[in-house]
Amino acid sequence: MRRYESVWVVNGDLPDEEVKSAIDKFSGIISSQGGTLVGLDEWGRRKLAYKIQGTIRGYYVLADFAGSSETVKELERNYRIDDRIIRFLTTKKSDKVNLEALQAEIAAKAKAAAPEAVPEVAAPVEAAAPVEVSPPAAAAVPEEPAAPAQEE
Amino acid sequence: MPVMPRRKRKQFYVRRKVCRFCVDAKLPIDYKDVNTLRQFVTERGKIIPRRISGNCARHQRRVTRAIKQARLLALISYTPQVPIT
Repeated sequence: MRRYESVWVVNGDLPDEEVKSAIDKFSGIISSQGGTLVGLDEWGRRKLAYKIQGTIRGYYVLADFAGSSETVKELERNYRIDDRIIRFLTTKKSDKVNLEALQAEIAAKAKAAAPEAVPEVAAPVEAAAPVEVSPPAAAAVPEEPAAPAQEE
Repeated sequence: MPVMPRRKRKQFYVRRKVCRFCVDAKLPIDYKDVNTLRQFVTERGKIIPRRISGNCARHQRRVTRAIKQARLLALISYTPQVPIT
């Protein structure tokens, strides 16, 4: 197993559903060809630096995955068949993949998507606490009024 | 005819350029990092030579490669944006 990174550009003139289906198709190919998808990063619609097939917009998608050379071969074969794909580039990031570390990374990525919920829960608690201790104190300096209160 | 004193050669102070990727090992060279790559490309889209950019051979090769990969993906253009007439 090797670690690869593949970018593909979907024709940006296509409707969103078409783009979506193209993304799903190729991330599906990675998984079905013995690859493990670590992350899928959609850069979204970008202006191309030059015209390709008459269009100046492209939807960029970056897939970070582990797989074999066969995975890449099949993936690239499909890129070539699909008309919606205007450009693609696959690069090897490392020769060896530690499967355990990979699983940990996938878990960390999943967690990274979640923490939005964590600070939201933590923030109201912190905001509420200084108000209870010293209601007249400004919210901007909650720690200072709290310290003298403890000394007394 | 008296021998003219040899005219003093114009002094050039060549500031030694250092490869910025060697100085800061953390700086990544990546085809996705368009802003960094732009610094190594002229307005006409040509890759700036090592002689001018000051990169070391090893890093220049990587920069060159990254630029070419970025061009393929249409992240950087091969030619000037507005055709020069």
